[in-house]
Amino acid sequence: MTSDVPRRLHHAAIVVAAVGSALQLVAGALLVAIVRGGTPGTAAALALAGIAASVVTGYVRWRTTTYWLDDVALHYRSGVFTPDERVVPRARVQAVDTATGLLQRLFGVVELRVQVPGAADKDEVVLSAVTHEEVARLCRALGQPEPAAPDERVALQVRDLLLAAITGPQISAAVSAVAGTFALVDNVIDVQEGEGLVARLDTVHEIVVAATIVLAGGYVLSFLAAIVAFAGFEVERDAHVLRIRRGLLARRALSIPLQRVDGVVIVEGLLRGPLGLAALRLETVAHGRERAAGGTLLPLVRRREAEAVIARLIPALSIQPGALERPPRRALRRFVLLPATGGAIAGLAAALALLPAAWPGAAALAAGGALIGLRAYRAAGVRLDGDVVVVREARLARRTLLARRHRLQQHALARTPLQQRAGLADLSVTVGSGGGGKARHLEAATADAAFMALRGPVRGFVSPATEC
Amino acid sequence: MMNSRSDAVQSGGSRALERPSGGRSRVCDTRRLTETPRSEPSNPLPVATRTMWWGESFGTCVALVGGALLLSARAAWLPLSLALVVAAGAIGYSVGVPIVRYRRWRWELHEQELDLLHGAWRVIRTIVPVTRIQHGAFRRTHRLDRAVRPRAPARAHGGRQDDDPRPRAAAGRRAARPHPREAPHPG
Repeated sequence: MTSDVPRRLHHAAIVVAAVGSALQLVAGALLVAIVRGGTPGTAAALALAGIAASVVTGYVRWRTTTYWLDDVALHYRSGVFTPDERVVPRARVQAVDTATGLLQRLFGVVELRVQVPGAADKDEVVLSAVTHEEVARLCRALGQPEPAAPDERVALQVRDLLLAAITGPQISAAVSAVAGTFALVDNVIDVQEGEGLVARLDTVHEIVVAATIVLAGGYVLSFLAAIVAFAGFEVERDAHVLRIRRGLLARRALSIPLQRVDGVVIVEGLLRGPLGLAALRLETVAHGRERAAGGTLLPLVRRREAEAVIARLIPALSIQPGALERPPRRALRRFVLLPATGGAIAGLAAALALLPAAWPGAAALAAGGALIGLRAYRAAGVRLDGDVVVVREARLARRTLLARRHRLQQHALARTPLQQRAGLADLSVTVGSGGGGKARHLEAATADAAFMALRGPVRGFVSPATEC
Repeated sequence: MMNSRSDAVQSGGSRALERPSGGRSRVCDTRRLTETPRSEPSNPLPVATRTMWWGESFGTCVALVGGALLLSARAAWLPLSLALVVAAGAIGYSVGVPIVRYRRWRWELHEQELDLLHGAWRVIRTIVPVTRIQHGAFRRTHRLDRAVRPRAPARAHGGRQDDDPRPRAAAGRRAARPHPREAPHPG
């Protein structure tokens, strides 16, 4: 292929960039006007100035953003004073994703992201508005397989979407969102009034009520976020590519070559586990850092069907049914002792420092720690099946990693002197995205066997009848 | 004949794990595994590494010893004997851990894989397939490096000539900068 001429994005890119920055500028201008006690006229003038500045910068950004293809790479250049130039070798392109937001839908264009292994999100090439024909051309040129009739298709039903949203709250994200909202409100309302509000939270009852409000707010936000992210979720697979489409407002489409999938993690969260539900997460180099919705293969699946669904979507990860090699019974106390002691110490320290009368809480924390340890013991295990290694562990959520052996980034065998004396060892595997799995306190012989087998050539499944 | 036996030895490990359910035949597999063909890695790190680790833990050690003694002089709840025990522990840890770490550290680069053995308390053996290594990066704590092996950095890069008028430390700093070709790069 000959060298391409530098091309500009679709004109819609001006509007996309302008709207994005205008929202921030106008919000900032209004906030400043309100906090400083400006008149509505001042606020409107500031907002108009913000919109005008956004349109100008959007136009300048569009004028100065170009991309082109040559024989070996995709080139991207953007910026005025210190132009940002990126070169993505064609051979390194892992996946080409598209997203269609409301604005893009209005103009009949899509946003295109070129995923490259090892690059941070800010280093990805993002073409914010290109036509569908241009997407097809770029996909062809970047070696992405043409869409074919899917061999397999799994769609998320509305009932499952609601279940996924109810049972999968990302508490940390939600709490930080609520905290961010409070911080914003705190900036706007009178500071003294806010301090008075906090100072009035002096009884245990009020603190509990406040914490409940924060958690409930977080839960609702998380529920809505899950609905927006996973609405219309569907996965299709043809002979070479996995295609995932999802999203309510912004419709996202990910295409991942099957050969670049390192593994899949079956995640049984605290709420989902008891209900026999799980989520499936993809482990790929391209989407490894996208810890949230980006790396989801399926937001909700029945646990007993998980392996079958994985086998349908990623045939290379299909395994025969069978049990894992689990830690011996003598390892149980090693799983339980540490979290139970940790819980007891944390509880005692809190009781001594805050409220001596709350010392029974220490016992409760110790019991909670012991239960977590017991859960970890019951979950731990490892298994090899052909080219697939299965590692299961539990901290709070129970995670079962199914990974392709020949795509493991590394594997390790670890033992402390105490474990050595007891004939135990830990086995851990790491995949290209940095994720992985660790089976703790395995029988030393089993861990050694797995460690050596992982470095050897891949062998087929050996039935028990041919054993020894 | 040897090859087939070697294969059998290696596949013994796989079989123990590929069995659909745990069984009593594990002992049989275990015996085979002890005959695993590849031994542990054998290359040690340079002796200077140990000195560097001592240097790195020196600051923490001084802070801990000084803090314990100061606290025992000012606070009644920390008797001098306990402070001395803490200080002795800190010194022992700072001196002992680098020794153990250094003795343990072994590496070997095979045709297919990088084999590492390390750890003071928790001994970890890691295998990294060579095909999965994305890039290499060099980092030097050059001042300490010079203190340990005065001429090594300059000589390694051919950076210093005898008639170089700059002070040695400056030459060392220059030499310690990685060559552009050695700098880490993505992909």
